[in-house]
Amino acid sequence: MKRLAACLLMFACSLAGRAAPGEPAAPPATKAVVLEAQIWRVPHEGSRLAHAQICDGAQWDALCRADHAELLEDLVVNSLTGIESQVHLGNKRPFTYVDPRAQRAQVNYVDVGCKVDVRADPSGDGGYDIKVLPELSSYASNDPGNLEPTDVLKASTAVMLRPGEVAVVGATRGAWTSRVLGANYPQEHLGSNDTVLIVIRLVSAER
Amino acid sequence: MKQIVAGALALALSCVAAAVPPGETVLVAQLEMLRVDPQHAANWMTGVQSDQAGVSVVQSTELLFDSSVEAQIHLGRKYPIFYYDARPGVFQVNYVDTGVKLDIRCKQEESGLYTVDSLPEFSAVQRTARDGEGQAAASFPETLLVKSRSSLPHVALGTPVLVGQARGRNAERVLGQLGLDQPVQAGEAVVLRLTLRPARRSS
Repeated sequence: MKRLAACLLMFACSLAGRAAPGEPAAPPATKAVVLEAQIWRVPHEGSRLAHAQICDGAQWDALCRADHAELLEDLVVNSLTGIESQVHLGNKRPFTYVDPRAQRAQVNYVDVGCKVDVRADPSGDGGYDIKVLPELSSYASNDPGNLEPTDVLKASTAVMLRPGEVAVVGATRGAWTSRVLGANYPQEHLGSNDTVLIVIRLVSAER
Repeated sequence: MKQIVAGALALALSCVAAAVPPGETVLVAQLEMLRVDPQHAANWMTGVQSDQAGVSVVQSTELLFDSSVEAQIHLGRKYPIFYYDARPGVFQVNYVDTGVKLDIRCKQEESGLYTVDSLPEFSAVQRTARDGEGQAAASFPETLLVKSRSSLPHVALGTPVLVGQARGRNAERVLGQLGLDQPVQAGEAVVLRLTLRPARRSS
């Protein structure tokens, strides 16, 4: 009977993902996930696309076709659960400085464009908690070689997704969007009614 | 012995129940930054006026967020501060954020409405201090700041609420640094309007 009770206790702990009494807690197993980060431009405000939302992949693809959305950037990243992945689509501008210890000039970089930090953690019901830190940025001045300020549109958020789902994490339009994005895409002639979407798709996750 | 088995079974069931995650509460926060002309600014600041006269939307940003987790939005400029840190013996870079920032967190009430905790911040660079002014950094911005923390109860989805309103020199500087087409007039107000709505989900 004691063995039966111990077995039941072990079974309970294994179901709950917890260590049995007296056992060290096992680290959560990492799983492979495939994430896709996209930047879209939607040229008209009335579009059903031009809002933050969650939809499944097929619905998203149909909306994009119907509303003539324009894909500006797209990058797929293979990652692991519990580990932050960083996506950068944009420019790197160098700046120089003299390091007194090394007694020589050093070079460092300022990144602008689209940066997305994304991290997926299993939420327990087949879904994944996705933490996202999107940033759209451009140089505030034109002073190459010096460390300069950057104009930013930045957010920090979290959302739960299931494999195959698409989250329009952010949708932004206005004078500041035109200024920041216009500097990165001068040929696109972004107007203040154009909406820029930041999209995260959880392409797949290891079972 | 039967008691031990029953106890273990009860524990097993409670552990299984604890492993089931709570329901998700994904919302969309729409943050609109408005400029209100000097003739209508005073009425907006005191809540007397809520129609669109004298109001223009400068920027509209929607963010998908889990209402139980704090979300942040920043529209503005990042100023780097580059300095030599003598202890580790390396150069460090830190950033000062200016412009408009909003931290929000929502909690659903029993009635189904939401309590919205917000921390809006308006800031603009007043001047850039230079080396020789008693600081380790060679150059750094000094900012003017308007910041407040508030808690709005009984907010319904789809109903716009004002989470930040500022008028004065700092508000004019914030607007001025956004590089708008229309020049900023003295006495204009900056208003942050927040609308919550459910995120559409199609599964």
